[in-house]
Order: sequence, then structure tokens, then C-alpha cells
Amino acid sequence: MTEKVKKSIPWLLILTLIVLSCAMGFQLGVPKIKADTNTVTPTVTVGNAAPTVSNVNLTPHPIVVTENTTTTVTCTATLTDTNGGNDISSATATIYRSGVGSNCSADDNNCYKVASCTLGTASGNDRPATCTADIWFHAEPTDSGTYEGETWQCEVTAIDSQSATGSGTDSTPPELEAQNAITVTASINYGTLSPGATSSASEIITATTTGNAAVDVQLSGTDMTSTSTTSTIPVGQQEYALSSVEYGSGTDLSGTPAPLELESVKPTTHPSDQSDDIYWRIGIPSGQDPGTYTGTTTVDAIAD
Amino acid sequence: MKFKISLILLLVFFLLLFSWINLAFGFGISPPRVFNDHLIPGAHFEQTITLTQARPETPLKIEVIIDAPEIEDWFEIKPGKSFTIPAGVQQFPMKVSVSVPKDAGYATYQGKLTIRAIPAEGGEGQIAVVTGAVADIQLRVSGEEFSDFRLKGVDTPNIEEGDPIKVVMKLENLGNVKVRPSRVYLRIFDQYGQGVVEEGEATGMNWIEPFKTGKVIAKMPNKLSIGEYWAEIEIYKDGELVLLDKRKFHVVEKGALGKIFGFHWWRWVLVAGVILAGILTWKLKLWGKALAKLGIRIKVEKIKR
Repeated sequence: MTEKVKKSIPWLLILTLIVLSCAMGFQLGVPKIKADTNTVTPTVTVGNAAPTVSNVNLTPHPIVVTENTTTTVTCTATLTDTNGGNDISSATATIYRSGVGSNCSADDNNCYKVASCTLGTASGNDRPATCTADIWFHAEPTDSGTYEGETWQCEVTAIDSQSATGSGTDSTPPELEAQNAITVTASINYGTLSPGATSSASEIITATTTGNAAVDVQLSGTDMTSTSTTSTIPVGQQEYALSSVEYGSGTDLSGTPAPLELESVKPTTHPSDQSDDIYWRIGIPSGQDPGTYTGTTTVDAIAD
Repeated sequence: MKFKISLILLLVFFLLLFSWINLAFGFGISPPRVFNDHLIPGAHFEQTITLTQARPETPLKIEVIIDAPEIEDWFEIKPGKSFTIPAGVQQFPMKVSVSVPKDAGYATYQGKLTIRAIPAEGGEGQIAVVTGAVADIQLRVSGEEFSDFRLKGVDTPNIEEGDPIKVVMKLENLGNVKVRPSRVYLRIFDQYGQGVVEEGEATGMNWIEPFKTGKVIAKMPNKLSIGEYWAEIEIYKDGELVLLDKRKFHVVEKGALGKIFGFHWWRWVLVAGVILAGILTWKLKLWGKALAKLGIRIKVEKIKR
């Protein structure tokens, strides 16, 4: 019996502490309901109230596109209907460059229509909405260039069960940043040439603009090195041009980056509609050791 | 025989597919510039340049070359001048940190920041083509003070009854002096957005340091009772209205915010702590010793009937 009591003491203490904690902090409120003895049965017709949209927020801030593909942006909003949040049946959104306005026609450069936003659980008169759009790499930038000073905006429209609508926009809309990007052929293969010979035909690499800004390129390279001996072919033996010209008429490649003005402008569609071919030829010095030579050519996107 | 032909066709298809994948490599930077026209000697600012690639199948080695005579040592690149973007990452933020020395001369400094993406080496007898992009650098250092900011977000969080209404503003300081809005004015409407129930200045704002982004909080005392309200917010910059917006918020009973299943988190921690302490001491048989130290002795005797 003594042992049993001894064993119970800690548990009694724990229980006491829990009871004390509850007494201190957990003051459970019991709703008080007042009964009214004088009841009447009133009649009222509740009209439909149009929903309102607030707290619209387009993210990320700023928007950064991804070269040659899409990037997801998210627009959130609070939809409110004084008939109750559940009265809101759907929501749509338009994500657009501010200069084209919310009534714009769908265009992957500046206007994205979200046909159906995801509605969250209603809480009182409110219902959260989340709208997403995949923005293409060629979407027009607003931090520089033609549309500097504009922003990317999101307008969310709430629709209730009676088809009444209400709209709202982001009061602190983000910029969409310019991006210089190119996609370039991964390698150049001049084939087999004899010492003293020059390329009989041009090797072509294609530089495709895959960002939302017009770009030029700068070109540089390294000497080609033999895979079996210490021989090298100087970098200046390679030439490039924007058309297929005879060896000797192109520009010598150098270890120092040199700009090359491309004809491409900003892409307006996907896949990118802006690309330039760069033609390459090589001259092998007389007396060059036979062997296989490899090297590196660098193509950097620079501002147009 | 048919199976063999199908297998060969399938292999050819995959070979073509993989050779197409290796045909070209893309890389981009955003924004392609590091510009700041409002630096003063001793100033510090950070900018993010996002490196992007559409097909991040493999890790991508990056090399950064700063070509900016006179100011090269003002730059710090995070995570470094050479790093690897893990496979699967389409957008990688690279921080460019610029610290202007206190003895820097007043001038406009220019340069280039070249970011190269080094793909796997080309095959033997080939010229591997490396793709990169160049960000232009233009930094103007002067003794002129410049004050400006950009609003990046506004919120009016729910409050407990009796607490001041809060306007939380995310603000990017574009200038070289600390900044905050010159004025924040609130009009509080009822839940239908109809009648004004209170209005006034929101004050007590903190400052944002030069070239930093942070939260500024303005507060307005009020006598609002529990319920749903709309706040019409006016934010001014040097006396000019830069934002007018309506935000919804709730006033809730005192102590109602930050509760888990109806109770404050610290109450749950208290109970969990008490139970845990009880179990531990019981398991370690410390109760008897502790009571003995306190001079408490429990003697249990049989009750004689």
C-alpha cells in the first residue's frame, strides 16, 4: 500500500500542475445564449450584393523570366461578398503590362488571361483566390527600354452566384526585368584539313535570342591544342562572318572579346523567331603537326 | 524481326533526341546591368542578377569576370567568382555587392561583368562553344544626397481590440539617405465600405537604410470594436500621393491572435513542459530525492480499525 501511494505522488503532482495551468490560462468561454420569449416572424428579401476584390498581389516582385521557356507568376486576392464568401462562385484574372490595360487581348508578349483562379475556403464574407500564369521569355520588360516606367499588373475579377462581378488590381505592381539571353550551337567541327589548307565551306553556329531583349554578341576564343602533342593552332587562324565568305574575308577570332552586331531584334513568339547564323572557317598553318586539335570559342550576349 | 526493327527505330529516335538536346545551349542574365547613379563615398549596395537556363539537366559551372578598371575591388560576388548551379535549377540568384571606398573620387565609373556558363567539354577535334552574357556596369559617385523609394507591398494585418491599426509597407530605398514615407493617412470604413468610422494619421514609422529593402510600420490608435473594417490608405512621398488603396482587416478580441486550437502557443508549451518534466523525473526516480532534500518525508501507516 505504502509503495502504491509513493508511486502515485508524482502523478498527483503532474495532475495538479495541469489543472493549475488550465486554470491559469485556458479560460474556456461558454457561449451565452439569451432566450427571447417575445418572438415574431419577420419577412425580408435579401438582395444580391456584387463582390469586391482587395489585397491583390502579383509576385514575384520583380518578375524575372527564364530564357527560352516559361516562368510561373502568382496573383493572390481577397474576394468579398456581403452575401457570404460562399456566394462567390468563380474568379478570373488578367496579368498584363500596364500600358496595354486590363481589356487587352491575350498576347504572350504583354497580356495573359487566367480563365479560372483557384478559390480557397470561405471565411465569413471573404474568400481567397489564387491565379497563376506561365509567362513566356519574350514578355515585354518594364525596367528599361520602350516600356520603362510601366509595370506588370494583375486584375482579378470575382463572380458571384448571381453573375454579379467586381474587380481589383495590385496597388504595388512589380516590374518585369529585361533579360539578355542566347542559345548557341554547342560546338564547331571543322573536319579534317591538310597543313596549309583552308576550310572549303563554312561551319555554322546559330545564335538564337532567347530572352526578352535584343542582343548582340561578343566573340573570343582560345588557341586550339593538340590532343596528342604540344602543338597548337593559334586562335587567329579561325575567322567568322555573318555570311559565308571566303577564308581571308572574315574577322579573325581573338583571345580578347570582340563585338559582332546581329540583325536579331527582341523575339515576339516562341520558339524564338530571332536568330543569326555565324559562319566560321579555319586556315591550317603550313607545317602544322598532324593530330586532333580542340579549343574553345566563347559567345557572350551583350546589350544591343 | 519486327521487334528488332522497332528496337532500332526506337534507338535511332532517342539518339536523334539526345543529339538535338546537345545541339544548343542557352543561358541568360536578368537584369543585364549594375547601374547606380546615386552613390556617395562609403556607400554600400547589393543587387541580384538572376542567371537563367531553360534546360538545367546537369550542374552548370559559372565563371564571373569583372572588367572594371579602378573599381574592381569594390565588387564582391556571392556565392563567389566561380561556382556551380545545381542540376534542376532554372533561376539562380547571384548577389553583386558593391562597397564604395570612403576616399572614392567623384566620377562615373564604367565596366563589364561577364558571366560565363561552362558546359561539359566538346568532343575531340571540335571547338566547344561556351555561352555567356555581359552585364554593363555604371556607377556614379557624387556628394549629392538623393532620396527616393519604391513601394513593393502594403498590408493592414488583423489587430486585437484596443491595439493600434498597423500599415505594413515593404519599401525599397533607392536613395543614399535613410527614407520612409512622408505621411500615411488612414480612413477606416465599416465592413460594407460605406461610412467612415475613424480617420487620422498613422505615425511612428521606422526608417529604411540607403539601398536596402525592408518593412516600415505605421500605427494609428483607434477605438474600433470587434468586427470587419476597410482601411483606405494614403501613402505620401515628399508630400506627393504615391499610393491610394483599400485593404480589409479584422479587429478581434484581446488575446485572440496567435492562438493554436483556441489557445496561445505558450500555454501549449507550458502544459507540454510540465508533462515532460513529470515523466522525466519519474523515470529518473528523482521525486523521492527531491522531496527528501526539501525535508519532506512521507510516512504511510496502516490505519488501525
